[in-house]
This record gives sequence, structure tokens and C-alpha cells, in this order.
Amino acid sequence: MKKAILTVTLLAFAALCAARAQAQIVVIANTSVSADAVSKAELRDVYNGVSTSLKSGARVRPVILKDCPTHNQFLMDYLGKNSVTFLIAWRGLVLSGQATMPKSVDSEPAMVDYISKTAGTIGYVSKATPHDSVKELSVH
Amino acid sequence: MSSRWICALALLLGVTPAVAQSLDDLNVQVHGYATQGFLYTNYNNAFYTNSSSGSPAWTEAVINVSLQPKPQLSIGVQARYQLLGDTGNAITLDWAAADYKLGERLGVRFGKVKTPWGLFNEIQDIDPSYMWALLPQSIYDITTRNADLSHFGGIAYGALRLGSSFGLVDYRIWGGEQVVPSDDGQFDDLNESGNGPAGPLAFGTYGGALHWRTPVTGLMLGASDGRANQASVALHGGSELFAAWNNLSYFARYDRRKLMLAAEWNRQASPGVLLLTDQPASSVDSDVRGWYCMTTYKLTEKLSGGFYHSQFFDHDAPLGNDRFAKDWTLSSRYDVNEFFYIKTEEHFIHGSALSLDPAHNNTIQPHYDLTALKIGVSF
Repeated sequence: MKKAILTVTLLAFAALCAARAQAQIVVIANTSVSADAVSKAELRDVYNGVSTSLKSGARVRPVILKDCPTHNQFLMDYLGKNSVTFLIAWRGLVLSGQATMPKSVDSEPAMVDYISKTAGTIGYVSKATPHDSVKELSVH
Repeated sequence: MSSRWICALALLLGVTPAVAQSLDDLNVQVHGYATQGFLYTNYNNAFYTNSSSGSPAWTEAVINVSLQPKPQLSIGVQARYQLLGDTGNAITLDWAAADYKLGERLGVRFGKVKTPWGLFNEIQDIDPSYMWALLPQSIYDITTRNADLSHFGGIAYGALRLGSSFGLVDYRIWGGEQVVPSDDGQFDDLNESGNGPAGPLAFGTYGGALHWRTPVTGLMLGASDGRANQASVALHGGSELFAAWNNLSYFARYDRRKLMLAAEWNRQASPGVLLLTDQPASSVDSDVRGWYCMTTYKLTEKLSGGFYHSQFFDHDAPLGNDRFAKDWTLSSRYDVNEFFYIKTEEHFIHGSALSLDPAHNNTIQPHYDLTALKIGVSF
């Protein structure tokens, strides 16, 4: 019985941690993007180079962070990929002439700054990063 | 329109807006990759190499420069160095194109562009983008790769959403002129006998492809059909005529977390006549059909493993080992980091219809094993 309680407690704690970790990432967009929410599937398509617009019709261009914990967590949570797999897939698109590599920025403040100034862009930062100058999209 | 004019137009479109903007605004990007391979066969010599003694004559290097002066417009050019055995050892223009995206539903790309038939043709020469050292040779034959990769002309492409219940369809429609170099693998026998083409084989081509991204997460079903117009090529000592033919593919791919499954079937039926001086006309019809099924699994963050089985048949060839090739392949890839990778692969092959040219093989064993090792860097 004690083992069962311990197991349930640990599982609940793990689930809480996972949920909390995911909540730390927010998806942001330039205020010109005509959407307030985005689905996981839409994010996956945009960041895999499959699609350049959201279901609402809003055209978007993905922006990525250089390798950092926030970047890795975003890729794992929403694309199920690590940063190496992500880059390799994009290089395939770029080297076959099907796409241009997404704009890459050095830091989360730089991400917010770039997105606030560039129409049609979409990105992600940790929730703690100030992002008043951009639109926060809810993810469903 | 000749290929030179198309390239000039593509470059002009790129240069005009480019001069007015700073490099940063143009989003100039430079990418590329280089690989060095090693081939060993226990019998026979594969891919124009002396692989039965072990051969490192398998090198590729690609450099790509692209710019994006406007969100809808991108221009790129890619050059390639390739060495495979006794062939290649030259720098060629891989592709050079301008791409204008009107929206998700429609984009156009023109210049020298990748021909989007089949599941892998657009990326079959982009080694870093897949785990195999050699894609299934039944469809993606490396000795005739340059003939299939690209054409001078254009592509219209886009994606149509079918609603949340039906997924999304990617379409590609292409047309233009395809140019097959005179040293392409399909002319091996003619070149070996001294009757090879006096110049490249050029013919009109057009086709379309559909990729249905189904509502089942990760499942894509697709088909492509390309048409090549009738053509002829002057030979040293005659000519070869080809009737119009189709390049038909059906394919499916499923990606789910660490697992990838894919399968493809392809048919290229090419009726032809060979006219050599002082000899009666002879048929060079071919009706080649290839298929494969493959799976890969990401074992760790850096290590992937995979298996495929591939079969090739030429239904117009005489009965015997030259009529088919069957290949059971085990493969692995290790990504050292985001730049470097290593591939190892073992092929167990039965049949001699592929990979074995007459110049490097006095006698041919119908059963042989091929080991492929490759190291690569991409950026």
C-alpha cells in the first residue's frame, strides 16, 4: 500500500513538473498576426516548414532561438524533436531549395525585440521574459 | 525557353531588389555540406569504384547561397562537387532558382529547380537530411541520379487545407526541360562500347505530385506522375530514340515520435530504339519497376538505426540475374553534434541489374554484400 501511495505521489509530482515546465514557454507573435490562439499541430507545421500560415489565414514566419534550454524545451514540447534533428530537417529543405532557414536570434529579449518589429513573425520565449510589446498566443 | 534565359531571369529578379537593400535586410544565408564515403564489396565492383578492394572514391561537397529580400521572395544558388568512382570529379550547378510565394495556396519557383517526384527525389542528393548512406537504389539509383534531380523550368506549389477532418494536401506541378549528361549511368553500355552520346540528352518534361497529410498525425500518403516527351540523342556512331514515357510513383510515410516508416513503388517504362551505323535497329525498351519499404528508429538523441528492403525489376530485360536487384539493408547514423555525423550501412544484395558497370566487372557474382561508411559535415 505504501508503495502504491509513493508511486502515485511520484507520478503526480512528475506530471505537475511536466505541466509546469510546459507552462513556462509562451508562444508570441507580432501584433500584425491575426490570431489569438494556435494549435500544437499548427505550430508543428510552421516550425517544420510544412506550412506558412495558420488556420485563421494569418501568414507567419517562424523565428528560432539559438541553442538554449528554452529552445530545446520548445522543440521537444511542440515538435517532439531535439535541436540537432530540427536543424538537420531544415537543412534538407534549404539545400533542396524548398525553404530558407528561419531567422535565428541570440537571446530571448532579442526574440521579443525582433518579433515586435517584424510583421508576420512568430516565436517563443520563457514566460519570465518580458514580452509586452508582442502578442501572446494561447496554445490549444 | 532556353535554360540560360531562365537562369538569367532568375538572377535578374534577385539582383534588382537586392541592390537597394542592405545585406542584413536581404537575409543572406550560406549553407552546405561535405561527405567522404568508403565502399567495400566482398564480390563485384559497385558504383564505378574498385570497391572489392575497398574504395574511398565517394566524395561530395555542396555550397548554397540564398537571400530573401522580401518575405515572399527568395533566391538561391547551389554548386556541387561530386566524385563517385571514375565519374564526376567536377563542380556542377545543382540548382539556381527564384521562389515567389503568393500565399500558402500558391507559390512558384523557376530556374534550374529540383524535380519533386517521388518521396525523396528533392532531397536524394542532400545527404545530411536522411539517415541512409545510400537511399534504396531500386528507385534512387545513385549512378543515374543527376538525370533525375532537376530540370530547367518551373514549379507551382502550395498547400490546401481540407478541414480539420481531412488534413492538408501539398501539391506540386512542374514543367520544363530535363537534361541528362552524356556520362550518366544509363549510357554506361554505350560509353563502354565507344558509342556514347556526343552530347547531353535533353527533352521536355512535366508532371505533378500530391502529398496528402492525413488527419492521422504523422501519416502522409502521396503520388506523383511525370511525363517525358519523346527525344533523341546523337551517338558516336549512330543515334538513340526514346518514345514518350512516364515516371509514376506511389508512396507513404509515417512519422511518430522516434519512429519513421515509409514505402514507395515506382515505374518508369521507357521504349527506345538504338540505331548504330552499319547495324540493324535494335530495341532498347526498358520497363523498370522498383519498390522499397523502410523503417528508422531514433535509439538515443544521437543514434538512429534503420532497415529497408528494396527490389528492382526490368520487365523488358532477359530472364537472369541482370533482370533484377534485391537489397536488404541495415543502417545506423550517429550525429556527433549539429555539424558532424557518421553513417554505417550493410547491404545484402541479390541480382546484378543495378550498381555494377561493365568496365569495372569482368565477371559478376549474383550475390554480394556491400559495406558503406560515410562521415559528413553540414552547416
